[in-house]
Amino acid sequence: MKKRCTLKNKGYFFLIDSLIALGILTIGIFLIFTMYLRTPSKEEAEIVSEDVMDFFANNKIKDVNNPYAGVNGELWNQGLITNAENTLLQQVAEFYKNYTLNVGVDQTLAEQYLDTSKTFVEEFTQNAISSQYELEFWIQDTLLYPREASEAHNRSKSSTSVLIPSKKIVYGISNKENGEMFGPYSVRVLAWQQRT
Amino acid sequence: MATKNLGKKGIFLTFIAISIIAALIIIFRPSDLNVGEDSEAIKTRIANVNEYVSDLENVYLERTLHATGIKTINSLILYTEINGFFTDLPAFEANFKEVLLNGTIGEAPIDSITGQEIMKDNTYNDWLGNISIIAKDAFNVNTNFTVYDIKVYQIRPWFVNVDANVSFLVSSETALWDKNTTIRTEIGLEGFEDPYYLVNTGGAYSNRINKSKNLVYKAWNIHTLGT
Repeated sequence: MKKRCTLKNKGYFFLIDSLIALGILTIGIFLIFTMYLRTPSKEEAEIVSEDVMDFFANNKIKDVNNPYAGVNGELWNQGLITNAENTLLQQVAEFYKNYTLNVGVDQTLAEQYLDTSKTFVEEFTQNAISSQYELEFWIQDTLLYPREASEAHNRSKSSTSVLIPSKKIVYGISNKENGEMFGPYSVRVLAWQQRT
Repeated sequence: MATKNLGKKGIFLTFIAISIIAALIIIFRPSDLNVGEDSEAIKTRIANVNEYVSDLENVYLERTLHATGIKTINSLILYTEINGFFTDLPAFEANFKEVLLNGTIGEAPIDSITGQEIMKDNTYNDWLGNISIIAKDAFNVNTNFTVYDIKVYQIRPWFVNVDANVSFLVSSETALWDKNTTIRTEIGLEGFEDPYYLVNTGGAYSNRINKSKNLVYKAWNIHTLGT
């Protein structure tokens, strides 16, 4: 009789023991994967900045169907874009060169070139990224996107823990007949996830 | 007695399970030292610099050689208008090299001779210096160039070839790239002022080099030139 009870007890013990072990395993695995879930956010932000940079570096004016910046678009018809073989990044650099050439010489024209470059970048970036990300587009020390960094934007930037910028050096030939070049300029794209 | 022993074993197994899970959590927990983030940043940095080196070797050095080659030819055409043709081919080659690299001819700035600002801040050495400054700013790397030789020659009509034997060293805190390469570019001569007209008319008449549509290689003669 005594031995039977012992066997019953053993069954319960093993059942409870296995349930506890299963619970511990579940909690353990959950904890491990929860901790790892934090890391992709920085990688995703980095991917966003690289995607934006690659888009600008790998697509030519002739390849984009855009009523503002494409061939026969607004800027093309105004004569501000003349080389359809330029990549979007080279076009930004060419606007920037014209801006720097006119600073202190013809300030109105300089501002016009700067404004055009800002609108140009805005045209391709404002709807390209998810609203949970913030983005900055710099050429040399000039911020092109956003046009003006708001206080909230700066606060969000300073509160982010990881900020890996995507960088490229851009240059090109602006006049094939006389060998006139633009650049080299340093371009940086920064993306980060907004803190909720 | 036997029951007690079995019960103790169960508790013992539970503790082992807890210990193993605790050990697993500790082992696989992301470190507070942010080793992962650091290595990711280093990886990105090296990838960026590697891309810069590749672009330098395959695109930038050629494109700037092409652009400065055009400017050098334009400067030398204006120079010959004032000073006449070069005495021989080696003299032309030596002057071409000097103008392309330094913007000088016989150590005097060619722009001051021709009266036109073509080579100022636009020599090959200037463009190599520009990229070094920008690369330092963008990637925090040091880039040092050495141009060993510049060769100018012609292998087919209407085009001039320019070769630059360049070595460059790109160094960062984490890696170093040491390359030696020959950059080759071909410059089309169409559209340049023909120095033959400028020199022989004392600059009174100029004519741009233009490939005749009627000209067939090995079949041209005096009668086709006028058409």
